[in-house]
Amino acid sequence: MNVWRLVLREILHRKLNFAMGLVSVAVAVGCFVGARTLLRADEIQTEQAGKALEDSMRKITKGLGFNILILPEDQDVNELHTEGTLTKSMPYEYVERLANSKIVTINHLLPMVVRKVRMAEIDKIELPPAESETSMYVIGTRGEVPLVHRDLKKPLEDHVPAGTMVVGFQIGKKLQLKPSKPSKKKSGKKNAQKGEAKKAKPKTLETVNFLGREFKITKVKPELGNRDDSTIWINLTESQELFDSKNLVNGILALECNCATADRVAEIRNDLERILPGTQVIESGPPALARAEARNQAKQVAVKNLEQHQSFAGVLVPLVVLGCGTWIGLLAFGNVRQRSSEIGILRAIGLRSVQILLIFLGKAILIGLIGAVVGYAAGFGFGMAMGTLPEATDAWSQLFAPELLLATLLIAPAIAALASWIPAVLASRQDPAMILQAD
Amino acid sequence: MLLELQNVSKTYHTAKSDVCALNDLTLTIDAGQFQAVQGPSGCGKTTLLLIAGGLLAPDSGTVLVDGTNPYSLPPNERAQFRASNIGFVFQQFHLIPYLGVLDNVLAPAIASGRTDAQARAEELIAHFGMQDRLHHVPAQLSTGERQRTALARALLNEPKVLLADEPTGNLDHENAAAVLGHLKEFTAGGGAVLLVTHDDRAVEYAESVTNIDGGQIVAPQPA
Repeated sequence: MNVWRLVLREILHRKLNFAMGLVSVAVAVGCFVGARTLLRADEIQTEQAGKALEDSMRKITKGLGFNILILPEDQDVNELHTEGTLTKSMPYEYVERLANSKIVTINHLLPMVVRKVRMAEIDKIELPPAESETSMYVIGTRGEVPLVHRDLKKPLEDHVPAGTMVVGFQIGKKLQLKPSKPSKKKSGKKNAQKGEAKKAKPKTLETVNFLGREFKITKVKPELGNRDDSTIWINLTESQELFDSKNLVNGILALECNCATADRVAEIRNDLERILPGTQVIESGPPALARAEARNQAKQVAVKNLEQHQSFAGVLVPLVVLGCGTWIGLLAFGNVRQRSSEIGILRAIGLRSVQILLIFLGKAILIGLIGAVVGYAAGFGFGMAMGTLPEATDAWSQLFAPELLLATLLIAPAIAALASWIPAVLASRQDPAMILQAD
Repeated sequence: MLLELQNVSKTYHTAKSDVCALNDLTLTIDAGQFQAVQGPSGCGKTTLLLIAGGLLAPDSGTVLVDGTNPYSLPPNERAQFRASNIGFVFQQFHLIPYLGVLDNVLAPAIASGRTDAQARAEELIAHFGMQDRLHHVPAQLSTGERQRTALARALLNEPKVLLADEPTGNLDHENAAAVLGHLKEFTAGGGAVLLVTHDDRAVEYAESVTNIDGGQIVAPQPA
């Protein structure tokens, strides 16, 4: 005869008490293991679906959403490609004419004045003599010109107010300015309609003199690895004044154009010929950039979903474990009350306090151990059933985590014992004389 | 002397009043002696038994069991001492409801760690005529069988002193006689029995009877 035989006999005698404790542990462990298995399935799915989504996005963006540049007819396109700048102009009125037309193949109109100037024209940039002729691009922009026949959309390019300047990464570096952190933009039509007047006044990072005018630098763009890093953006009207191009622009950038036909540039050229005769159209900007952006967005969405699930599980699982632990403690407390006469006689016949403690903790440990096995099986099965894994995935081997099984086999009995600790100590400290007298 | 209580007093303190259960009581029992204690309800009989059994410390006085004061021992050693030297039999039997007869009789072996406990238990059960009831739980036993099981349990560790609190209170004449006979048999083997009872039949088996009232011995009389 030993304590464990006593524990086992009592379990067989009070099956309901044991079963309730067991279910409680199984629920807590099942919830924990189920959540972990689902999250693991989520991770695998995110990883694999993310790849699939990226591929889909690549295919989709390959055929949609390209940019075009509308230039004066006499502009030498080679000059743009080799020098990166435009020297011919066309009336600003062209932009308004295009905006008022009912053209459907074009979105997001950005008229601009483009120049290539010496970087040293910004007074606060000090260059060594060898680099004194280093150039940069100046783009005068007024932000987007809305198309009259379309609903307002969130602008792709921000307006640059008069007297302010946005600089590329390399320019910012010369000025010892760090790239600005991306602002949390609210998207959608409502926000677009609020207009720029309500925008928060941007913080001035530096004040510089450029071609005899004072500009406040309000933003440093992050490093993009293209010519934008060596570009500054100023207000369109100011650029027209600085470069003596009043009411003139060098080009109109049209972003995210859509075409139904395969020869999309030809389709736009055909449309523009009627509206803006005397212009030419070229495709602008590498589509790979747009695709990379789409891929990043897809990845961010997947990661955000995973984080949401993790935070949900992070709240739910501790609550369930706490609730079940409390329930086990209450069951143990009831068990101690029910067995007070037995405790009295066991103490009378010579059992020590530690042996009485072991009788109750032993039962809790057994409940925890068996509950852990049942709960692990149930939680893992639930996770396997509910976790949506891509087909042809060996779910069992990918989701089964031996370290998780080991952890539950160790932690569940420990928590069950901890929950039963106070009732067990109370039992071990009961005065046998009082119990036997009461009986 | 196997059991010696010298000037033992015990008072229970309650919110309403103090109740004196034993007042300067002295009692001795030799090896092989069967001592009965009689008295009205609430006279302190059970308190006497618990104090003698090392379960309830007296307020004053000395208790010696085979020359050892159990209350001078640390709690764990006192429990071990109790397991080895003292056996208890109660009116309510106090059997463990989920254990069969054999396991109930074996229960004191958890405390004593006795290696031949199984054989000893089976021997006792056979001696009490219950060998065909080995795995019956108390609910499946008659009251006489329950008390015999409790008696076998009390004897498992071969104690020197057996303390019996109204062991025949719930038994018919035949079973009471059997139980008392077994107690008498125990003293014949050199043990000492302290029996507290109302039952006049029990007195017939005792070598001496002590009457207590109000926590004091009032009139010792020969059996």
